[in-house]
Amino acid sequence: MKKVKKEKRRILLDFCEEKKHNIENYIKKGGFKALKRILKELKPDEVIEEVKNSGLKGRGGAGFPTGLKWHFIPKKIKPKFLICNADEGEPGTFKDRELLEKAPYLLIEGMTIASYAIGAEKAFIYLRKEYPLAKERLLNAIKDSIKHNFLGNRILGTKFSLDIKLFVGAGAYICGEETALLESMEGKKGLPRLKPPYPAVSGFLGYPTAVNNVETLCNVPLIMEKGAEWFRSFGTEKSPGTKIFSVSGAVKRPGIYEFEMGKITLSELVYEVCGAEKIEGVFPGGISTPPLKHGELDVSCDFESLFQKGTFLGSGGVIVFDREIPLIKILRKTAEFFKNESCGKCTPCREGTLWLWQILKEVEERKISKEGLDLAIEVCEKIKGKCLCPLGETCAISCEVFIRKFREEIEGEI
Amino acid sequence: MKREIKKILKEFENSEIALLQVLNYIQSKKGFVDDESIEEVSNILKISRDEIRSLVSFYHFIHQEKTGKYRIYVCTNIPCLLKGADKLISDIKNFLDIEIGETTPDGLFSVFETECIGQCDSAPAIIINDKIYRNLSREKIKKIIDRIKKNEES
Repeated sequence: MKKVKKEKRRILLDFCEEKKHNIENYIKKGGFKALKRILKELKPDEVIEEVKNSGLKGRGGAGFPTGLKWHFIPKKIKPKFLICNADEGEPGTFKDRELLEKAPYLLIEGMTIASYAIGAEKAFIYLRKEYPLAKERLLNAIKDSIKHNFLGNRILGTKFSLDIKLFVGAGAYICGEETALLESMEGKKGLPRLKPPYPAVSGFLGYPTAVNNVETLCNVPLIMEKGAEWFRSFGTEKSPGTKIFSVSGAVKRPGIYEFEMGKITLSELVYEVCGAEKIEGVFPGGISTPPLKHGELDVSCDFESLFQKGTFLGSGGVIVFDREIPLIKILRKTAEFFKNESCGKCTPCREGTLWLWQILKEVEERKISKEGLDLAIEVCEKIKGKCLCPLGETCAISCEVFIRKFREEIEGEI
Repeated sequence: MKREIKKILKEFENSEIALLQVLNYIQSKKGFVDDESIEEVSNILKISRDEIRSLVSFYHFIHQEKTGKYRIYVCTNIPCLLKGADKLISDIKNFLDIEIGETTPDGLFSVFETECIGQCDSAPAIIINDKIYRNLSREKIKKIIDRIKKNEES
């Protein structure tokens, strides 16, 4: 294996502990230092300003600037809420699982700082049901943080109080979409809302709400302790910091890897770091992001470079596939996932993903000829641009690109 | 059950916010959310039965029909598929002699397909009730099932 020099740039994963994920160890590593300083020296606006200057972009998939999101929260309306989106459901993504299980205090500190910045006294973690170990560790971390007065009433003797509650989902991919998540928390089915208004203005129970991803919030204590300039020394100008990738599929070393944004190519990541041998294609950020062919992997892993290649960094859930199982099966399963997870609110998504799946299933079973692939593309075209949330849209784009890029190979299979 | 529901309500301070947590609790206690439970939840939380039913039908891990004591959820998404999830499902179906969505006659096991459970680095993986099992093979899953059966017998 060729040595990849950049690998040691771990700023988040250094906080992940297999066994010593306790509060004492976190404090020993410098944990809660940022929170102490902020509560003593900084005004909420100064925190938002620092995060804005750091250029941190949301790590959940959409990449919206975090500081700006917080800036949009109106000052005068009360109460306000912070919600940590830990409903990591994008297939191939398990980077938040690592942080939740092995660095729960980093998240708690990040949430406490974020709540202070936006003026929230109540915060929630929306955790997916599929992560029972994370649930156990988070409940424990909340309890111990309160005991040490880093959380709860009058934190560290100041006037700032924060209550963090764990809200466990019940199995629905769509609840990872922020407005569907809010609906779910309000005791309704997880159906996305029409935007605007954005949650920053009218979110949980109609009050201003910031919804941030786990990895995003985990970056906050580091930015606040070491400064925006330090954070900007990692990654690229437009995408500062590091990114955690979760790599799975046809590789020898699947797992969690952290690199500076844009300082490693997809090819280096899958071949050199993860030991892939024969690759047919790669989903760079979960199956919602259009796949790249084996010849297209010489692209930097950051928001902008992948976008230029017609795909997305997404959640950083890199799925590598070979020809061990037929490509038509991977394609059919992609459509099947969205069909299963469509909430049913928008007709083009509800019906379109169903049709798409049915057509691809018939192609796979050789019930219809390869012209079925043209029909599938036509259905994708009719879903695009007609849905409230990104679910139908990403299904259509991902499946359409899959068919266009791998058409010859798929036709060879059927 | 009433006491636990009230405890959850107290923690979340609001019926609507407590609702899904209450349903999760009933699901884990009973294995499904039946009409009797819906009635009780409706009375305590003052939320209509229809609204509760709509949630029960929406979320994958909340069942309307009676399920086995051990609910096996097999991940069938692409990372697991690439590591033999198909084969794993047919092995499980064979060992238990049931189809997806069915329950064994002794009421012990039900099998369901599920989407990505975030264990892609240790695929194929499954969830049994609230426990994760990773890197599964025919031998491993057989051992797990046999062990559960043996524990239940004694």
